[in-house]
Amino acid sequence: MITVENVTRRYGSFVAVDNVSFECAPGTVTGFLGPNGAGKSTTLRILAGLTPASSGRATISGRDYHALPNPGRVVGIMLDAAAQHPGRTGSETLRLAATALGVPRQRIGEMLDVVGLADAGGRRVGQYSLGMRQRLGIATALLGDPQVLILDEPANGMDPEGIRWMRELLRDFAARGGTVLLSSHLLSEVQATVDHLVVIGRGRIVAQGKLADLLHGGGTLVRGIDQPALAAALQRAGLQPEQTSAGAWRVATDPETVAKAAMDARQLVVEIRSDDAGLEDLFFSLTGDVDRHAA
Amino acid sequence: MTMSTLPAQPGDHPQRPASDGPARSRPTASVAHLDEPYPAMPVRRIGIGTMFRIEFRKLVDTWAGKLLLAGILGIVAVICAWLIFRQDGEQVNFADFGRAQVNVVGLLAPVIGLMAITAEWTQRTALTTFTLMPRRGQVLLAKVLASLVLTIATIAASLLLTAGSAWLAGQLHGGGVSVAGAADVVRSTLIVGALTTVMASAFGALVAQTAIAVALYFLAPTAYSMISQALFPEAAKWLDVFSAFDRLSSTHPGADLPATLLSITVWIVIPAVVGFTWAMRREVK
Repeated sequence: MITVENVTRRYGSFVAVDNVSFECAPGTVTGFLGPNGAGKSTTLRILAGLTPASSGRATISGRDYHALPNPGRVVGIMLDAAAQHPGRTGSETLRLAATALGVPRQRIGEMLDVVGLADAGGRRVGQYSLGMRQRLGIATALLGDPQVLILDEPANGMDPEGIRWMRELLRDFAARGGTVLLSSHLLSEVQATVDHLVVIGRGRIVAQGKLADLLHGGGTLVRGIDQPALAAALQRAGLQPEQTSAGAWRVATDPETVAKAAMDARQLVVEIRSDDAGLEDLFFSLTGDVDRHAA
Repeated sequence: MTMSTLPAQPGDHPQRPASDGPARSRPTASVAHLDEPYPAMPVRRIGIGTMFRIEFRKLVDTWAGKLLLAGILGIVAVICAWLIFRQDGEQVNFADFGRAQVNVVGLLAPVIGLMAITAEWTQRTALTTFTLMPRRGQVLLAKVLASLVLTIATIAASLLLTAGSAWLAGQLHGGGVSVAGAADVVRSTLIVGALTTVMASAFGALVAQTAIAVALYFLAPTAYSMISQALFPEAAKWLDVFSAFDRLSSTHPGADLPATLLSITVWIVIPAVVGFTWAMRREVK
C-alpha cells in the first residue's frame, strides 16, 4: 500500500511537486506517467525518504519511510539503475544489500537467477549493459522480499524481450498481493504492464484512475459489411458514429454496447475493437500543454 | 501489510493475518522454488554494527579500494627491501628503520576512506545506501569507524612487515636489531593515522569529488605549511597541521597545545562538521 497525501515540494520559488495525492492498492500495478521534468522522480524520492516533502505526507504500508525499522523488507526501491558502483560485481552489490536487509546469503543467487543474471553475478557492474543494470536493480529491490515495489523508469535501456520479462514479473508480483508503482515517460512502455495510471504534468496530477477507464475515452472502432446500414443502426441505438480516415466508424462508447446495437439491427460486423490508437493522444493531451521544454 | 514490520513467527509463513484481507501467498518473484515457504527471515532494525560491517566491506570490495590497499603495502615492501639492501653492518634501529613506512601508510591509507565517501556521490550509490539505511548519521559514523579500523589494520600490517624486514636486515648484515623507541613509533603512528583518517573522511564529505578531495587532502596542508614558513615563519605553527601531528606524536604531546588544538580545529574539526552536516542534509539524486 502506497499513500501520497497532498504532497508538495518546493525548491525556492519553483514548485517541483504541487499538492499531489494518489494511492496504490495491494494487487495492482500503477504506472506513474509524465514527461521528463514533470515531478515523477521527486515524488518517488519523497516516497523513499530521500527528499523531505515541503508539506503533505507520503506513507508506505501506513508508515513514514523513516519509521520503517528495515525499509527494504517492506518496500523494494530502484530509483536509478545507473547509480551502481561499476567496480563491484553484481553479486557483491547484492551481498551488501543482503547484509542490510538481514536475509540469508542463498537469496543472492536466487535473485540473480530470477532476474536472469545467474551467469553475470561474478562480473563487475561496469561491464553490464543498462538493461543488465536494470535487472540488477530489480534484484536488489526484490531481495528483501517486500510487499511494495517502487521502480523509476525500469524499462529504460531494456530490450523488448526484457520489457516483456519485467511485465510478467511485475504482474506476478501484484497477483500475489504486492503493490507496484513504476514510472515512465513513455505510455507505450508500460501500457501492457499497468492496470492503474497516475499522470503528472508540471508537478500536478492531471489524470488518475484505472487504465481501462482512462482509455475508455478513445471509444470503439467498428466496420461492417454494409457501412451505411451499420451507421444507421448505431444511430437508431442512440449512438453517434463518426467516420474515420480509414473508413471505419468511431463510436464514443465501449465495444460491447456497439456490438449489441449491431446485433439488434442484424448488421454483420467484420471488425470491432477499442480505439487504442488514442493512447498516445490521451497522454499528450493530458500532458502536452503543461510540458515544460523550457525547464 | 503491517506484518512485515514484525518478526515473522515460525509457522505463520506464507499466510497473512486475517485482518489483512483475503489470505494471499507472499508477493515473491516468479520462480517455482520460491513458491515454497521460505525460511523465516525475521525483520530486524539495522544496527550500527551491521552498518559498520557493510561500510568496511565497501572499502575493499571495489577495484579502486583493492588496488590502493595493495599499492600501499607494495610501497612499504619496496621501502623495506631498499633499506635491507643498503644496510651496513651496524645495529638496525627499528624506530629509524620503520619511520618512512609508517608515515607513508598513515598518509595514504585514509584515502581509501575518503574515496568510500566521495564514491557515494560520484557513483551515486548514495541512492541505494540511504534508501536501505535511511539513518544517514549512523551510516556516516559507520563509514568513519570502518575507515579508522582499516587504517589501523594497514598500519599494523606494515609494522609487522617492517619488523620482519628490520630483523632480516640485522641478521643479514650481522648488526642485530634494537627495539629502543619502538613503542613510540607505534603510538605516534596510531595517533597520526587516526587524525589523518578523520581528516581525509571530512575532506571527502566536504568536497564529494574524488580527484579534488584527494588533491586537497594531500596538497592544501603542505601548501599552507610551505607558504607560511616562507611568509611568517614565527607564527606558522598556529595553523600547520603537520607540525601539530609531529608534536602530538613526539614524546611531549602537550607542547604548544593551543597551536596544536587550533591547527586540528581548522584542518580536521571544521571540515568534519561542515562536511558531515552537508552529507546529512544533502538531497540524494
